Amino acid sequence: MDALLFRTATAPSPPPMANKRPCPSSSPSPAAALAAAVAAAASSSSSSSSSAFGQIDHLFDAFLSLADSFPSSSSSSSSSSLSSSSSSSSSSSRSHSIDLSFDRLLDARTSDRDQALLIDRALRLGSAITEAARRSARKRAAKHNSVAWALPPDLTTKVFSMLDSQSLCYAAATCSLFNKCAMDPLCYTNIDLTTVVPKVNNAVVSTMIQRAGRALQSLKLGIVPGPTMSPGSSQPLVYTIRSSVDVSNFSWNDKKTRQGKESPILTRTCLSPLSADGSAAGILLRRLHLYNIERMDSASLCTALSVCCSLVDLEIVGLHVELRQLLTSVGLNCPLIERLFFESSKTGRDDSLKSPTCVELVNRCPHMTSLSLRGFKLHDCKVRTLVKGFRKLRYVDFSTSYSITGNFLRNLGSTSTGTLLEVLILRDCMHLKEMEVARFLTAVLAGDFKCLRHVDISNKEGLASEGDWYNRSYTSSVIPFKEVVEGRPDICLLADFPSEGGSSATSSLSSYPSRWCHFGQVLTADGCDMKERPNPRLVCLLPELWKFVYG
Amino acid sequence: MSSSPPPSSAAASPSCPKKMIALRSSDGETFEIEEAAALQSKTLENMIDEDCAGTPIPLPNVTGKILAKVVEFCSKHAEPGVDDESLRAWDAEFVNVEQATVFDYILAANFLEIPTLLNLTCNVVADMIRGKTPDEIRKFFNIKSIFSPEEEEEVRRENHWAFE
Repeated sequence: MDALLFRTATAPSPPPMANKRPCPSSSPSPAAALAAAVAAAASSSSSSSSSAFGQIDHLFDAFLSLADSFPSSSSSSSSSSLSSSSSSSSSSSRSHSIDLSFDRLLDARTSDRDQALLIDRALRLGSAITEAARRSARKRAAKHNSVAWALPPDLTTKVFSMLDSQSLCYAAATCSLFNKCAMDPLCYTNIDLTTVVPKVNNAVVSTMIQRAGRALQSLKLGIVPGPTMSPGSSQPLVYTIRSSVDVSNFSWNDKKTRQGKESPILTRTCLSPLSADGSAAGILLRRLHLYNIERMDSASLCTALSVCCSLVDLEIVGLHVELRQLLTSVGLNCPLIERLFFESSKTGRDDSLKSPTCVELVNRCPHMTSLSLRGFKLHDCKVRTLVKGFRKLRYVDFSTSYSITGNFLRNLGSTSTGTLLEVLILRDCMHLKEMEVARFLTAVLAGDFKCLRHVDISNKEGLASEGDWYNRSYTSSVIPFKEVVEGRPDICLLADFPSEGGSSATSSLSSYPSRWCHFGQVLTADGCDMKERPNPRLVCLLPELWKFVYG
Repeated sequence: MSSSPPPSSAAASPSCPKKMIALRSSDGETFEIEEAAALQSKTLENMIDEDCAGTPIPLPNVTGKILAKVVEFCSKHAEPGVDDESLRAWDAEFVNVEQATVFDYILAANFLEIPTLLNLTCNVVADMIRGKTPDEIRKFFNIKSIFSPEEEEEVRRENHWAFE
C-alpha cells in the first residue's frame, strides 16, 4: 500500500494507470490485496466487470477496499460508516493503519513544502470522497423514500395543510421532500401557533405569515391551557401563566439562561406583519383568534384590526383590552364580521361598554350571527340593543356576565331576532334573576323563540331571587322547567344548580344536534368554507378568580 | 362537493330503474356503481355527462382491490337518510386499514376527484403525523433523512421554536 500511495502522492496529476482488475472487497491481507490491484493495473487484460469502468474507477475501487482493511486508529464517525464493525475490534492488533502509513509517507518527504502538499492532497481527496458518498447516500435514500411515501408533492402538501404549525415544523425536519412540501403556502392557510407554554415569539409569527403568502386565511396565536375538563362548562379560558399548574415546569428564570436565544414572548407588536407591505396579509385574514397575550394592549390590537377588513371570525380571550374600544374598532374596520367571541381578562371589572357603541356596532356589522361576551359588566339595556339590533343573530353567550338580569329577554320572542335565535347561554351570570328566567321560559312555552334549540341557565350559585341578588334560589317552583321540556321537545335545556340548595333541577336532554358546540364554533348560514372541527381544547377553572369575585 | 346535485335529484323517476355505471379497474375487474354514487367523483361525473357510460369506464390508475372499496364509499355516501354521526362512525371504520392502503385510497380519491374521500384519507395521514417528532415520523413511515448535517441544522434553526 505504501508504494501505491507514494506513487499517487508524488505525481502532481492523477497518475496514468493501465487497466486494473477490480479488487474484491474482502481480502485476506491488505498488502496482498493491494499488490494484486497494482499488478492488475500493470496488466492490460480486460476485466469481467463493466467495461464502462475507466482506469481511475478501478483504482478508486481498489482504494475504497482499504476502508475494510485499514480502519483508522482513531474512531471517527466518518470512517466507521465505511469500515465494517467487526474490524474495529481487531484494529488494535493490526500493525498497519492509515494513520501509520500516512506518517511514513510524511516522513519520507524531506521538505516542509512537500509535506504540506501531501497533507493537502489527503484532505482534498478525503473530502471529495466524503461528498461523493454522501450525495449517493442521499440519492439512495430519496429512492427508498419515494417507495415508502407513495404520495406526490401536491398530495403531501395537502396532508400537511391539515397539520398544526408545530407538527408542520417537525415534518419539515424529517426529510428534504417533506421540507419542500412543508414550505408550500397552502400549509399556512390556517396558522395555529397556540401553545400550552410560551414558545412563539414575534419572529415566528412573521415567518409563518410570510410563508402563507396569498393563501393566508386564519391566524391563531397565544397561550391556551391543555384539555383538562369535560365539555359543558363555561369556565373562563382566561389563563395567567403564573397561576396555572400546566406550566409548573416553565420557570421565568429560564429566559435568562437562554444565552443568545430570543425569548419566546409575544410582544404588543406581534401582529405588525399583518400591516406590512400595504397590509397584504391583513386584508386576507378571515379568522383571528388571540389567547392570553399578556403584552398586547388595546392600541396595538386596534391597529391590527384596522387592516383586517375581511375578518369574519374574531376570538379574543384574556387580553388586556377594553370592551368598548374593541367593539368600536370592530365596528369601524370589520363590516363582514359574523362571529365575535370576547372573554375578559378581568372578570367582572370591565364596565366600559356604552350604549352608543352598541348602536354603532349593530349598524355597521349586519352579518353578525354569533355573539359571545363573557366576563363583562353588561347592562340589560345595552344587551338588548345588541341582541335586537343584529338581525341575523343566532347564537348568544353572555356567560359569567355581571349586572345582566335577564330583563333584556322580555318581549324579545316575537321580534325578528327572537324568531331566529337558536342558542342562548347565560351560565353563571350572578345577577340573572329567577323571575326573568321564568318569564322567558313562559314565553318560550307559548311558542315564542321559534328556532330556539339550546338554552343554558346553569349557575353554580343558583339564580338571583327577586329583591336582593344576594339571596340565591337553587330550586324553583316558578320556572316551568318540566313544561318546557315536554312542550318544546326540540329545545335542549340545561339548568344545573348545586345540590346543596336542594334537588338539582337538571332537565332531561332531548336529542342534541351534534353540530352545536358550547364554545361558539363558526356557524354560518351559507356554509362558509371555514369549517372547524370541534375544538377539544377546553378550560381549567382558576380558583383565584372565584376567590376574587366572592371575596 | 359543493357543485354536485343532492342524491335524491339524481335518482331516476320511479318508472325508470336506477342507472348503473360500469367501471373497469387496472387489473381488469369490472364493478357496477349507481349513477348517484358515481356522481361523487368529478372525474366520473364528467365522463357520464359526455355519455361514454355505455361501455365500462377504464380506470388504469386504480386496482380492483381499491376500486371495490371506493365504490363502497361512494355508495354509502350517496345513501339518503343517513345521519351525520353514524356516517362519521362508518367513515372511521372505513379508514381503519393499514397505512399503505390509506395511501392507495388517497391516490384513487385524487385521480377520481372525490373530495369527501380525499379529505377523509388525508386527515388520517395527518393524524399519523401529528404530535410526532421528526425521528418518530421517520420511523413510522420508514423514511430516511436525506438531509446533510448542515441542511438538517438549518431546518431546525428555521423552526427552532417548535423544537424547544
